[in-house]
Amino acid sequence: MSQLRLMLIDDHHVVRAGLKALFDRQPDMSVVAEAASARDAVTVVDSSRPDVLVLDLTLPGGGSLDLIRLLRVREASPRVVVLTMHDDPAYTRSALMAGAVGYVVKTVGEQELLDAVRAVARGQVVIDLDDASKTAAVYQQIGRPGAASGLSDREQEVLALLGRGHSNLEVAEKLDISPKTVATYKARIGDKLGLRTTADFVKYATDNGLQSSEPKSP
Amino acid sequence: MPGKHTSRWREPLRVWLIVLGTVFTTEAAVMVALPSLLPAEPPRTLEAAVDAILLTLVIAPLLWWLLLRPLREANRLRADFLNELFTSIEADRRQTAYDLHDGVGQSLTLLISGLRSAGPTATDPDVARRCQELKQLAKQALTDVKRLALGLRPSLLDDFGLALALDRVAIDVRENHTIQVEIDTAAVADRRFPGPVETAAFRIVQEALSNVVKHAKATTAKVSIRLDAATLELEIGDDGIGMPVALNRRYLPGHLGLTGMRERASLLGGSLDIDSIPGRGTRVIARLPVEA
Repeated sequence: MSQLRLMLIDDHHVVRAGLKALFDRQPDMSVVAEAASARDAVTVVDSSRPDVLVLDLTLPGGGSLDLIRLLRVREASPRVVVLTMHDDPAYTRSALMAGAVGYVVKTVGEQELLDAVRAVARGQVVIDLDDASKTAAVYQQIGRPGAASGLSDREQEVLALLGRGHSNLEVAEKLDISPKTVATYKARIGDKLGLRTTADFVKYATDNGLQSSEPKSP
Repeated sequence: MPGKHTSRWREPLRVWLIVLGTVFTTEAAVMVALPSLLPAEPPRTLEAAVDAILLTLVIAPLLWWLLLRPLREANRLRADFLNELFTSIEADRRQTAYDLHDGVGQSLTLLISGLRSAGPTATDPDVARRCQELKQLAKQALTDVKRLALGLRPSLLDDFGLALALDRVAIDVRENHTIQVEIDTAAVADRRFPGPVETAAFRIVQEALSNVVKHAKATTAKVSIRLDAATLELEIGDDGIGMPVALNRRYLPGHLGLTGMRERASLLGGSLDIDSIPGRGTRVIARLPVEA
């Protein structure tokens, strides 16, 4: 099973230690690097090649948003999940505009955080402000699908794979489910999003940045 | 031994004596010297003119040196001092807000997250319920800490500017008091001003709203913000009991808030007016100069 390579950037040691312990307990995740500031993060990212960066927004010396912008234009850049104290939508918008694909406030439970990191790794946009109406408002403003479109995690996963042009059979193999189940998912997603042909799925996934990355060899 | 009180009076008293002494001596000397300066039996007007000119020539530099220069210097010192005071107050507040938000707040956040994850794993329903209660308690504490940080100095002000910070303050007043607050920040949305202008504008609105909440017994308050080429105008009105305006024309001990608002505006070259009719509400209007 391929593992998600994570990097943590947070100036609070306790926070980093807690996160590292949590992520390392998951069979599908491993923390490959840590940093306490945005300053030296770029070199660490280059050397440790994480898939997902879990980044605090308020770092001593600042620079979190600049780091996101900087990473976005690089080759094979990690997907960024902002994990922060700030639950004001203004911070969410600015982080997403800079190029983050996940924005989660620190008060969410461990399971929500793990789900968010996995979803972001699959290419989804995830926002969780620990307040349903605030979160919905931000989803609405950015006009992206995701949780707001009413797809379950599994459905989003199937959509992302179909979006890369995989056949039902290939999706079934990758997700270790039966082709019949894939067909069922596909029909359900089609109903929810008004998609019919495979071309529709690819176009939707491309337009909304939902393509999943290829599973990596361990 | 001159006490504190006498030494405070010595300087102005000295100036007073010097000016009076000089006027007296000059006038006496001019009167004595005039006959030898002017032709015999001079016209009265010529005599008066020469007298006035000589006296003015002596008095003008003296007043400039002894009064104007020290006054200007004192004004400059006062402005510098206030500037530094406000700057240091803001720096302290920013730091304390940060410490609260990212220190205490962070710990509470971890506590909430931990309790949230621990609750469902508890096999004993009592423990699960206790976790739930403690989580609620921690959430309330986090809300309180965030409110304190907001009152001190919202990070929104530094990160996103006036509009979002003021919107947030209005939300806070609505959530915590029974007063209706209307605010329209559209004129300054996405607009950034120099730090001192943003800080002054924010503090003036914050202080005015806090006065409305504390003293006005109002049911509604309205904050309007207008921006033209050279001026940022903030108006905070309410429908409360009003106040005697004369009270606020000058510094009064115990009315530090109003004095502070006025000083903040005037340090930036702006103005602050308070318009009130007892029984019919109060209107605070601040005008701050801004670059086009």
